[in-house]
Amino acid sequence: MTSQTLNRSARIPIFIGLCVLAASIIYPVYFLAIAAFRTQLDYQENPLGLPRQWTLHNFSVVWNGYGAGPAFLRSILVVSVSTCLVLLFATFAGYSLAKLNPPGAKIITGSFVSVMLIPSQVLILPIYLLLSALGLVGSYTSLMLLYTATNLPFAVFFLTLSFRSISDDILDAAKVDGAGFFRTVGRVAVPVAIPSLATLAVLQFLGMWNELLYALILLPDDSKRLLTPALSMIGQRYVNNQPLVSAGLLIAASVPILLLTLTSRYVVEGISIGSSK
Amino acid sequence: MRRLRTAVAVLTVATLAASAAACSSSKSGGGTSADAPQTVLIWDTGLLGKTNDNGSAKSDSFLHQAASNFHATHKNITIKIVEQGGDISANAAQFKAASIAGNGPDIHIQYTGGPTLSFSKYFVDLSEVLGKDTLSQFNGLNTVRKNYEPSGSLLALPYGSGTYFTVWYNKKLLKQAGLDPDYQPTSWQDLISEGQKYHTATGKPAFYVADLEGYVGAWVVAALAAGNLGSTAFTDQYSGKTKINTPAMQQAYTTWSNFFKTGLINKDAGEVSNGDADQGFIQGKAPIYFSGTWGDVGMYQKFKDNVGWSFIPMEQDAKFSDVAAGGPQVAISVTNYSKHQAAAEEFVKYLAEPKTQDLYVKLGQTEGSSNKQGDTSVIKNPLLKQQAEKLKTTQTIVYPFDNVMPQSVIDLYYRLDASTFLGKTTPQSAVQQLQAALDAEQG
Amino acid sequence: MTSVPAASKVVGAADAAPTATSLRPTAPWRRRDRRIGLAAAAPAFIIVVGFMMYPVLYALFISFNKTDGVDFEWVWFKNYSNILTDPLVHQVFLNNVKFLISVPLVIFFSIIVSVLLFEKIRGWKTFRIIFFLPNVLSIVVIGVMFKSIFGYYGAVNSIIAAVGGNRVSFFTDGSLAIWVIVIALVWSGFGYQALLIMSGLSAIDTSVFEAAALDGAGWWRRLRWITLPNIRRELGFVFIINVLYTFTSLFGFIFVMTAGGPGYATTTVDYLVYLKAFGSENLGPGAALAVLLFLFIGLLTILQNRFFRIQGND
Repeated sequence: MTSQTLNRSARIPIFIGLCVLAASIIYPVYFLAIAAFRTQLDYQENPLGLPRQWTLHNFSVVWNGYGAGPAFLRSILVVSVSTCLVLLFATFAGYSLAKLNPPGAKIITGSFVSVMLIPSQVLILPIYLLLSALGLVGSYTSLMLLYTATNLPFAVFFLTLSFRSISDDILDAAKVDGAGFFRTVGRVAVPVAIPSLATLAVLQFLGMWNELLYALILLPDDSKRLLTPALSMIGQRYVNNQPLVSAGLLIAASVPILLLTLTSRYVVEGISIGSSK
Repeated sequence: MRRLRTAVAVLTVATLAASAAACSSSKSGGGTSADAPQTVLIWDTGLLGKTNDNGSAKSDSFLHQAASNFHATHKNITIKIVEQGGDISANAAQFKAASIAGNGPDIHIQYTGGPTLSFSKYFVDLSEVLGKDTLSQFNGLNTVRKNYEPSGSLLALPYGSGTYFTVWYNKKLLKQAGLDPDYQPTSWQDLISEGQKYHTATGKPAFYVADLEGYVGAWVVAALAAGNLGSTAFTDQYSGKTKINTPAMQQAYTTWSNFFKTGLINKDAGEVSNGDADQGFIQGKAPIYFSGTWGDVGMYQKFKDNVGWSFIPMEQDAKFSDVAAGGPQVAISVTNYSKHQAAAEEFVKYLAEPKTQDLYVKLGQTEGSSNKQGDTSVIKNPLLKQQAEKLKTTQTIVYPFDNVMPQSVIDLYYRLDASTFLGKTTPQSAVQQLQAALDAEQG
Repeated sequence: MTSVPAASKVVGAADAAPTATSLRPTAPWRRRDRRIGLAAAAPAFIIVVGFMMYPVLYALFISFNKTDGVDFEWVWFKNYSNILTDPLVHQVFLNNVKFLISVPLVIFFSIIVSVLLFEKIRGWKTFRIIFFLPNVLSIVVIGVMFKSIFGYYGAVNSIIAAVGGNRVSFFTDGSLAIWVIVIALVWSGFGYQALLIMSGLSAIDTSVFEAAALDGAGWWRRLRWITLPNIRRELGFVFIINVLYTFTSLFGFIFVMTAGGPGYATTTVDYLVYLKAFGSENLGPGAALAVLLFLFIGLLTILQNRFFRIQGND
């Protein structure tokens, strides 16, 4: 395996370097985590110190007062469905563009690029009017559709690269065995690209999970609100309640972190399949 | 989850009540369409729907209480309240899109001034709805009239007496430095020399300023400019009666930029953000602090009687010496595409009653009533009480620049206030840029 | 939090997608493959183009008008000429160019880190998660942290003062502020890019490394001659999305630290688009700026594609 390529004496200083880098990231997380468990007054008096008393008050305010609980579930629903749709369509399109050379490939990729280069701020009004004309404003469908459409180009492009590194020989071998399109993609291409798919799933999920603007605008009814817009309700024009914000952030960050932890396994699996080819 | 259940319960009750009302009216046989059960939808941009800073008691916020009280006497009308997020721009974009599509709310609650005027196309003129007698009892109507003209259509009902820019004094620190803890400035220059005394006595900064975004500059410049231009200083600039690039505005900017050069300010004034500002003052980094009456609750909670306040003092040679800069913040509007316009107007009439607003004052304790008949005894916060008293006798009340102007001009204004403070922009260039931005926006 | 949606919304410089297979002779069954390929790519194409066509054309239409969304007045190229002659646009555009310095820095760090993690350094799984944390954290927290470190009374200034220097006001000097923001961008961005690169690394045939190790090639040599050429496409991808990101999604990040100031010294184009699209009653100039930005990034993307493709051929 590749681990042989770095000798033992070099590993220790590198390990220390990485630890320093990691510490610089852990510190603010620690700061955040502590702040979430203290009162606003206690925090204002000494932001960097330890809390005089610990409280779960912030979490209960965020969970109940700001409705983060149900919003959490709604976000999981919308974002999971959108992520799955993106991965599904991007896998087909990515494989096609990488290996099948479909007619009009340049037009397909060119239009993807063009659409995505436009700064999204100016699309808000037209997108709202479009979805409103379709009668979708205020429904989860509107967001799923939007997220799928806006995230597909990135996903297709990324997967095109991954599928292209699969050797043509094993694909041809599958074809000789009589495998059709779905079997080739499902049994040969996808297993090899598992690390990419796992990475992509995390990134897309996180991107949609944190998306604020459209989630706010397309679901005006607060009984349907998603998590990120619900948490954005914390804080007013001139007031900054860091402990509440911190508690909200911890709740919001939990799912992407969990997802990243779970996918670590698939990155390893992908490597072992990749190396056995 | 609890909220969800409550919502479901409320909805069920409301539906039952509505259908009961419908039944009774159909029995009597004379049910008009105005009596038909209907729901009035309100979008509140975080202004009236909260009780306190933590948002924990939303269901008994002022707006929710008012809605249920209203429903008790108007059984056929149900008020549904949607709280919008904290981001002003996103809210504005949403409301604009929904208004163009015609599927926005029946009532929209937004900031007075620019944010109300920019949607004038979609708001009902309330002057007829509320009537002369009611309106004569209200202060601050000029903040929500089209083009700020006294005869312009009334785009909203201004709610609350508003918030005003203030200087806060840490009495303990002043006392420790051998100064008068109950100090009140007679002029801007007097305030500076008081700061100088504190600095001489302690060697520490006298003023705590957090001007990263330029907000503090925005408040001070607006107040100082009003000292020469009077109460219509900025509404006149908006309507084109006067210009922004005048010596008086330039003078205010010059005073503001000279303030930085006094060396009496915390060294990191240019990089502390507004969100961290209260924190610095509470920690005692300096005894004098620029902020506003929106801080009443927090200041009283932290300092009790150990905090003093004044409005931002005017320069010695100012034309108007007794000035408060600020004004109503909350504006309640009815949309002209609303399908339940009559019901929405009915609710606004109910909100306009003095007693209804007293409830708002009582619950919020951040501002007084915009109704002259408001009951001042419901004010419990002593700081707010003092301010309400003081405002009654204040001669000049100016509606500030960053409320009046269109959003793009306001944004430029904040930046210029920050950069003139640091000496990166000259006062002359600042007023020219502002004029150009306003011309571009209105041109 | 902007970094992630940004990276996920931008890009798809997929016209870099020259197909290796296209060089092969076209057998009949390959023609059938191409038809299947079209059918496979169609759903994605229909969703994206079908959904985005109307909004994009609408935005283009707006850019030629003076409009508040209800009343339209056709003004031809007036919005464009105003934008192109606006000195503020020039200044802000130059700021963006300065921020480009962060791109090679982010990529350098993400390559080093991803290769090291890929070597299965002890605890690599934990590192992978930790390095990704800034992306989950929200820019507000990151902003607060960098402000406190580089603040007037912050850690860096304490060190400067301790060795006898004068305290530096990093955030009130435009060019210093840009450097601090670049450091923050690199710090918070490398984990995300490293994930992308790692997924590319995992596709490399490991026998290549083993052969090289047997040949006695050193670590750096192997990195330069084997690892990097093998992840050329991923690097190109990462490079392109980072350049795009610099032009489309820096605003939130910068706003927390400097509010775009002093003056407009650290303001970026995407903020200006945001301001013109949201802050003004006239939607035309914002749309025009967006179209111009689109054309510019498009050109930049095409150039980058050429660049990485040329590298691929040698």
